Amino acid sequence: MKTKLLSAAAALCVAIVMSVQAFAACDWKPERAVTFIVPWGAGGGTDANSRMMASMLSEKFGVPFNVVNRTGGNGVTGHSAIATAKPDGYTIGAATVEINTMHWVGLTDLTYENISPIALIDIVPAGVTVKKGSPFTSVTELIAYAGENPGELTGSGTSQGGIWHLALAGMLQSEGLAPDAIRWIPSKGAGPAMQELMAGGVDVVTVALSESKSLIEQGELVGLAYMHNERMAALPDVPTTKEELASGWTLAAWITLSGPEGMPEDIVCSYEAAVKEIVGTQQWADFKVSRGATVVDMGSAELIEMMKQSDSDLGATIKAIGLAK
Amino acid sequence: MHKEDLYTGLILFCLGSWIAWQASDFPALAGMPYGAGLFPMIAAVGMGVCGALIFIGGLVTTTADDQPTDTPPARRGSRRGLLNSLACVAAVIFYAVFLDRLGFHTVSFVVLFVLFCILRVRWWLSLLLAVSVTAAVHYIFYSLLHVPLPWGLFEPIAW
Amino acid sequence: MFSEILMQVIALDNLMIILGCTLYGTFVGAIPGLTATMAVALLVPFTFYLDPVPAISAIVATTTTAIFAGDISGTLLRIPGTPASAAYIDDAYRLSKVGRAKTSLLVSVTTAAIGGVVGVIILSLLAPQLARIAISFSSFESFWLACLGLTCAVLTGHGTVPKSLASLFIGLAIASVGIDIAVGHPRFTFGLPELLDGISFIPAMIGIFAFSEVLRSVQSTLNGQAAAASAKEKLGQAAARAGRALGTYRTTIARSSIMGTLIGALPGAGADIAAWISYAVARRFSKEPEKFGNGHLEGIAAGGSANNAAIAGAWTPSLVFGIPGDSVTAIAIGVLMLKGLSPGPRIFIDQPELIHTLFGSFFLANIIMLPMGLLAIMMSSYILRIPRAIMTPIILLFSLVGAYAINGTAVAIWIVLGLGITGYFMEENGIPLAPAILGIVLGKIIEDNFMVSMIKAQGNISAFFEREYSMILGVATVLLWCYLIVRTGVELMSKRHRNL
Repeated sequence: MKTKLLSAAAALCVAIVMSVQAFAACDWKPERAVTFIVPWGAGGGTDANSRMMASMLSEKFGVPFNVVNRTGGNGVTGHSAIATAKPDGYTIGAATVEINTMHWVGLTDLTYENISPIALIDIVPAGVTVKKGSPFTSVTELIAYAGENPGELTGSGTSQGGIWHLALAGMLQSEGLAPDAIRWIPSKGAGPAMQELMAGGVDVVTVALSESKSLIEQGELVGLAYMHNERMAALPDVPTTKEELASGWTLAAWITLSGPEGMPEDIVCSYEAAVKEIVGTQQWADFKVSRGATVVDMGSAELIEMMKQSDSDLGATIKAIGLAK
Repeated sequence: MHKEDLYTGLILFCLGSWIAWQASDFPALAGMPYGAGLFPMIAAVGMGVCGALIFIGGLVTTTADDQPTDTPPARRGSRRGLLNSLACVAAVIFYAVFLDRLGFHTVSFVVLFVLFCILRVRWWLSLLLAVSVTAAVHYIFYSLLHVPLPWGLFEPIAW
Repeated sequence: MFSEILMQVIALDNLMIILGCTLYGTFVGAIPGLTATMAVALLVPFTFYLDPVPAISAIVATTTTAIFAGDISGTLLRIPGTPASAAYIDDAYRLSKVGRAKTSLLVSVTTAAIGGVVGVIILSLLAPQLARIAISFSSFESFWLACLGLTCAVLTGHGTVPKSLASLFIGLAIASVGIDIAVGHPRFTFGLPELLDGISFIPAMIGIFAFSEVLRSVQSTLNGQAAAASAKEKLGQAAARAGRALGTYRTTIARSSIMGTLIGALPGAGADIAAWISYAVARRFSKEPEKFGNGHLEGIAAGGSANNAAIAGAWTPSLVFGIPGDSVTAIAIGVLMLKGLSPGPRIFIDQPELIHTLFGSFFLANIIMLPMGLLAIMMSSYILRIPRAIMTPIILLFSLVGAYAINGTAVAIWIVLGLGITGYFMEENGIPLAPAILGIVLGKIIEDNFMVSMIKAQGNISAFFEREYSMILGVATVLLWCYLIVRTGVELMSKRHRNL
């Protein structure tokens, strides 16, 4: 009875929240060019998603959405630029999972509470990828070897304390190994890390499986695992860590559309509605397929919940692997 | 003796020492004797050594060795020239400080107009040029190439 | 198959797109501060509506011409378009000052086209083999390659050895601003988040070259006779002079084009280093090395051809393995994927027509660049007729907006100011500027790769000589250093004897 009452109350709350949202007119429209901040470099996954989203938003609203790559400081520069912009709707940006990791490793004070999340654009699960001809044929073999020979293998994918570092160290830690049983080699991003892997400079990379997808399809790299609950549609032969590992470890990066702190509700929900419309189109679906990703559709309220959860999960991982400051 | 080289050498040496002093505080890599400070230190030591060499070179060089460089000596010491340079520096400082606050159009117009006047372009031509160049830059960067430029004061009429 | 490819390449829509994009590339490239990467990124939304072949043609044509067009602002206003073109900017700008702007630009555009064509020929013949080499480059090899590039600074600088080196170390010090890769410590950032990524080279180049020149030019009397002379240079005479230069320096051009392609194919900063190494090598083998840096066409020919050849080379690892060589090819890979094509070894087997059509478009873009470049040269030379009192503030404004455009922060303007004043005093005291730019561009690459290598090898220096290519490059670099030290020693000795 009690739980029923609670859920009824919860439903009422949701209804109220929704009606409040509905109450905000949601008919805000930009009247001049909007600046779209991307905290990562041109040519990367976040940049590609953002440019696609920006061009479709621009088509929808009839004003230019100008993408600016504000790179630097492992994401700090761009995220600060999004968070501290004027919340008038004329600056939005692609806040990424790093908004939840940077403050734990002591790079910045910014958290997800300093931005106004609008919608989720992409979920990017990590992968475990080795070079063709590697002695390891499964992620369990890799972990077993690393357990017996700690510090012998090397892994790469991004900067020290970056999201793919957390993917590797978190996986090792949750399997009962030292988080540095596979030593982390910092790199300038997924591309350089894969270059290192191909050149035999490192033994494994944990960049997004979607990044290494084409090289796996070509047979140059071998995907050992996908750090997600379900297999990737484009690479159905790569098992998930959920199936393979006792701990059931998973980790995914994500890309959001967010505004500066304190963006008015009607602007947020206008963008939210626009994004919802865009992710439902065939053009967006085709784009997603081309990158080996799936369409995600998550609005502001749900996204905030997800970010909250993700923030505490990532915080726990970062503390467990000893990177917290 | 080559006076300019003495100054150059001294400045480089001091700058190098300052960077080295700063860099010696940078954290090292775990388990290794060096880290973030290694490269600034190399640059600093290099600068310091080169500064010292230039200084010594300046001391021993006889004036006979002093090859005239390709800079014409005639314009040196021109007070007006110096003022012009300082005006350019001031213009850039003004631009950097007020760009976001006053907006691109205002600061660009002011900088152009003032500099034209200082360089003795007739005032009406200066006015005309300042307005039209600002408009042209706006068109090229903002309209054609989608570079976000701050509107500042003109935000209410931004398009 | 050949005729099919030819039909695709010269199909009307493809042709129109190449034509349009060469125009666009010339325009964007000639504007200070706007890079080829930015030009291509702006194209992305348009490529959504294009077929794969025209989409790639568009990117290829834009980059090719944007890189050349950077020489226009470099020659006329001393604002280099790319770090690579900074190698020969002193030559180009000095020629422009003595009234040979058109000659210099004509040499630029023709050698750029030759370099591009040679690059594409090498690419079509050897891409898979080249890519195998490129892909075996780890941080060790990249470190040595960048060291080799940096050594060229000493070879190309035209000051005394201590002054060239001082310039280089100033550049390296500037490059050490920002978060370091090994520890993640913010260095010399003064608490500004904008400086965490270091000092980006576009504002740095604008400051060091363009703003310092503005400061200098407002000091002298503002009648600008030299500039007027340049505007009066007859196109016919310029073409004749350029033609003679092309004939005289044909070996240099051929060598630089080939070297440019090969070095450009290597990961790291291949394309940026290519022009510097080619310039240094050209100087080494030249009959008149003392003219380099003082307005010598041979240097422009060497750097200009290597520059554009490297653009072609940079496509190698991208096409063959889908690993981008630079940010332009990274965007291009994204566009290809959007069209359902994933670059990789199989693309050569599965879709040879596409690859060859791409090469065809590359070829064509380089040819179309010639008349387009000529047009741009004729038009842009008019700005030399504008009195300097009017031109200088306009250059200043473009420099500032260009620097700001890179990432939309006023910090870029402070960088222009700071480095401009630095550059001004450096030149006043006989310290060459070019090595500093090389230091800024390569400093980070060298540090990153050195640190990453050291972390991999856990502090064991001998690891730098263990891998095959790494050993070759390492030994070559060390030998070069030994040679330089011996040469400097010999020079010092002979100078002392003379002085005694």
